[in-house]
Amino acid sequence: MGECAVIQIAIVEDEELYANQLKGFLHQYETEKGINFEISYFSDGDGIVYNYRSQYDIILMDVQMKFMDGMSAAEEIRKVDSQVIIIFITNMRQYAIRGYAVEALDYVVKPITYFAFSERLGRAIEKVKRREQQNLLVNIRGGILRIAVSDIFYVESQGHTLVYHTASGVFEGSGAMKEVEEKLGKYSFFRGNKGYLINLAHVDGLQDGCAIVRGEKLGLSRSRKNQFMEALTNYWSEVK
Amino acid sequence: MVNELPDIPRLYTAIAEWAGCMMFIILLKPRYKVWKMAGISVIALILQALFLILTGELPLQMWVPCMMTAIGMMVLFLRISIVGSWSDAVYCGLQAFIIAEFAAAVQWQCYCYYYYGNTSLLRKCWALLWIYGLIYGVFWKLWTLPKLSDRMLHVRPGELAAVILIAMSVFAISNINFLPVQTLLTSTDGPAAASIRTITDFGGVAMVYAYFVQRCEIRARRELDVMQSVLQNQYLQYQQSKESIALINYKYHDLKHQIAVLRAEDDPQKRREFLDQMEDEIRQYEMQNKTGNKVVDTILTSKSVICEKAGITMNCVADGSLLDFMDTMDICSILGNALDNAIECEKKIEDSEKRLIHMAIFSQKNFVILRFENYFEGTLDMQDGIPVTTKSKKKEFHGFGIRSIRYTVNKYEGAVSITQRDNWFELKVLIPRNTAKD
Repeated sequence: MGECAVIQIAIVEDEELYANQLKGFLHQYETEKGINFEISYFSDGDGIVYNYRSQYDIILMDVQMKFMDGMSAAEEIRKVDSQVIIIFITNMRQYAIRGYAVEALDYVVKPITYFAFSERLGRAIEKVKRREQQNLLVNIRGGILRIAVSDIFYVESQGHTLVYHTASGVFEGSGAMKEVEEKLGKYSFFRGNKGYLINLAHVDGLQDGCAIVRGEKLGLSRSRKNQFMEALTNYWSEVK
Repeated sequence: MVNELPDIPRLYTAIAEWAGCMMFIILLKPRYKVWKMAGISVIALILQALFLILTGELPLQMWVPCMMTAIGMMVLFLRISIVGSWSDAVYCGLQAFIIAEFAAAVQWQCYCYYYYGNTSLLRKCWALLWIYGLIYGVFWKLWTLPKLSDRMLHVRPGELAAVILIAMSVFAISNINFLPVQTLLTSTDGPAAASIRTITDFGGVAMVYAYFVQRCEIRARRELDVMQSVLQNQYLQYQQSKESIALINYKYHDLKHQIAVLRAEDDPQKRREFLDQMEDEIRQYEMQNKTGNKVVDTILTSKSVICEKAGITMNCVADGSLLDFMDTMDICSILGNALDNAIECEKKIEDSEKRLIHMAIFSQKNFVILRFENYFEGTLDMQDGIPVTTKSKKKEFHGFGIRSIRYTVNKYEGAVSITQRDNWFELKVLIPRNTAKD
């Protein structure tokens, strides 16, 4: 888990000058931070869209290109891949402002400076690392369950049993809430009140002082509500 | 003197004074952690008691300087223990002193009336405990009634003078009976003198309390006023830039027409290329942001003009239509203040390459998220979730931008979070979508 895998980056840029500059910046970043990239290059939007298999972590995409522009290419990519981080490269701010439509919340303006580029790239890499699948071993009645952290909706404590509400069903196990909280706290879990440890990623909304998790209303205690909301705010602005 | 009444034991006075100080320390923002505070308090109690007991035998003319020193020690104790200026400490110290005078006077009178003559130690302690307990309990309830916004007083010179005046007159009138002089206001009768003292002290407490309550109310009202004016300010700015941006757009369209006409007139290839290029260049200056919400567009445009001037790169990805359910004023307050904050911060950065602001408005599930990031070097010093700025001159307006954002976001039952990540200052706002006011 600690060793980081090679990060797959695609450059989609029709002007060779900029493409080379980006490559240069990426190599500089690799040596500075000791990270390994595997860089693919496409000279037009249709190049990356054709045969796209969600193989990249980050895509650096020019907005204006001849055959298929960056926005359309991003739309096509989003149909298959909701995870990849798209950073637009543009000389027109007005085009990138609509990046939210394809969940591209970051862009860099041409002419590109290494400083601005590396800062935003750093953010993107953080997000890639965050998204790495993490598994948890849970003691349940009759054995041990291996489950992806992102599949846990929330953990409920009922006396001495812990109830795991997950994507693959409800499991009961033994253990103390405190221990689970320690294990899951470093991911995006937060206590809503004494009885619930909630995965912030699955909070769909708030209603009457309750968090709505997969259609269920989980009460938030008065003392924790503000902290919970703040954690939720941080979660969403760090993930996206 | 006909009817002699023993003087209040010095130890009792010391305890009363110490308890008065403790009341304010608990009420206000303490400077240190609980254990350290407990240690300081114990030392303060011992010192106060020792000082008063040791000076108890001094001749009468030394009495006033000794009292002054006792008050000075209380002020020092408060200054060490609570966050605030010397003025704050003096203000609290004098209040505590008057309260202590009253408590000690009442306690001693009760004791002499009910228990005197029966001098078992247990009874003495009991009398001390229940009377002080009752008095300080009631005062604690009273003093916690008015709301202090940040558990700080920020006493100003005029306010301090008022309390000094009250304290001095109360002190003078209540103690004049115990001087060996005959005046209009004095009585040589011991119990009567004690009663006068108690009543005067009671008046003093009432005055100090009334003043305290009034101060708190004025402060709260002023804070609200400033907040309103910050809100109003952003709104006015919005109105102004709306007009000027309309003008720019008008000019822009004018120019576009001119180019079109020019192009139609002549047709050498070179000229066309030149014109194309010109149009392209002009488009760079079309700083109009089209986010789907007119208010957001206007604010972004006006702020990006400021950024352009200051050499700040501001990038933004924003779905303005997400904010359609919010009031114009509220959008102005959140966006205007957040961006102003970021711009202020960026202006201080020397290297223009590092002057970066990133902003995003997007939605996730049933939430709207607004994220403002700006590059900065240094560390964030937070106080009550509000970063402490270096602008010391504008103390009155300190942190009001962010406070105004919080105030606005609270209306929509949202949350604000301010953090620092690497070299980025981040202000994030989350607003639930289903609270749209219909």
